[in-house]
Amino acid sequence: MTTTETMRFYDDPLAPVSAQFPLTRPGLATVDNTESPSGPETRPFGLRHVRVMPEPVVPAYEYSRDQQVSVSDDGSETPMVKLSPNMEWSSITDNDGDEGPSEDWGNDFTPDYPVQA
Amino acid sequence: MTVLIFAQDFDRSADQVVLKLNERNVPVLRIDTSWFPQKLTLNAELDGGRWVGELRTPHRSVALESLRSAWYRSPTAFEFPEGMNRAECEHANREAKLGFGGVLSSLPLCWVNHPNRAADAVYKPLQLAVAARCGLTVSRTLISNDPDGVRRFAKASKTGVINKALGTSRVLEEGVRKIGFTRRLTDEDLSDLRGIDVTLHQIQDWVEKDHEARVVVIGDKMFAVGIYAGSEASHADWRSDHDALSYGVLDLPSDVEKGLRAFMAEFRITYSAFDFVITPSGDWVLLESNPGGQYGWLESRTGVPLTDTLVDLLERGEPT
Repeated sequence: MTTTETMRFYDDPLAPVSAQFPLTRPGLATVDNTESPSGPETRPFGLRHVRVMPEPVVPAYEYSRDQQVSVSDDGSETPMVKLSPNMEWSSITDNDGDEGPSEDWGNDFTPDYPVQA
Repeated sequence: MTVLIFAQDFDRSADQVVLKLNERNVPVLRIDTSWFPQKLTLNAELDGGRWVGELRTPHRSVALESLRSAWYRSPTAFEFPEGMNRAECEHANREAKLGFGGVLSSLPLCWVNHPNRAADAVYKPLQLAVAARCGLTVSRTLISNDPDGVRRFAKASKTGVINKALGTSRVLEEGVRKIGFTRRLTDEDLSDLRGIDVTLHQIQDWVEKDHEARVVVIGDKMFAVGIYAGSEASHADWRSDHDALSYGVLDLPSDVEKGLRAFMAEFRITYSAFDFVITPSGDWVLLESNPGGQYGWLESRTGVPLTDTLVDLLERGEPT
């Protein structure tokens, strides 16, 4: 691959996301950005009225690599969906979840700087 | 033949699909891309025109040639070991994207959805243009970073205008999570449009609504669920006040169904959740398509068989 091709593929802001194997932003990632809003001249208008969301409430669970589902953390390996079939499942938005309010997966998260464990 | 599911560990809808596949004795491998490279290994070798090999976790493995379908639900970013420097991490990330993504997306499976097509389908300006071409009604829309352009567009509107993000409306700053919802622009907003010029903004006509609907399309099946707002906030954006909502199953007008089928064919996707406004006169106006849209809570509220339908599609495994 030539330098020109490399530049076009990686650095062209109009390149389709599809060229980058899109991934979803980690929904429960730690909020490590402590910066304050910049100011009215430089803060995007679309962020003018954002409001603070409550921290997601995640029920205690473990991921069972055997069953390939989330299970209770009491050692019984009971799938969470069977343990509490009608629970409001908190995760991403104010009380997000597949059985309640949810944020749609965007698959638009293509970080240039990768995540490190 | 195995169903491959890309999902985060914590995902109730994915859990339900896994359990349902187990009930049907359909082999399934669930992975998250964040497991790569530390808990996920790929060995792929080109054999003629197809990649063959193995995808392996510490607990199970599957032959690439034994896959029948893949549900690209919500895979998250690769996670690399501590100790790598920034350049090494960026290199590793790039190679992983091109290698992992390249091999997997080349497999001739039933994709729900194919990652590249799903990625293209998240562009809302593209959605609106395709939807209009497919005969669906869309709202009058401006995408601009020109304050004067926004004022002109707003002045020409008969119903007022709203601002709605083109992507996620969630930001992380000041150590907290913040979210923005669709909101009608006031005269005060329009007299102070600072910040419009720093990036693009989507401005649309406010659509007078009787209620809203989410239409979930899974393969050739469509399910329309009405969403009825019970508060002022949820009337503007139902996501902002879920407790005030009620639901009901709707019949989908045939012209809307026809338009959605054309839309799905244009993007070559097999799953999407479409959001509509139903006007007081009964017209269906498309707001957006969510190729990774949530559906579980609609099934819970109304009983529409979304999980079963998705599992049917994955089990059949007809290449897309």
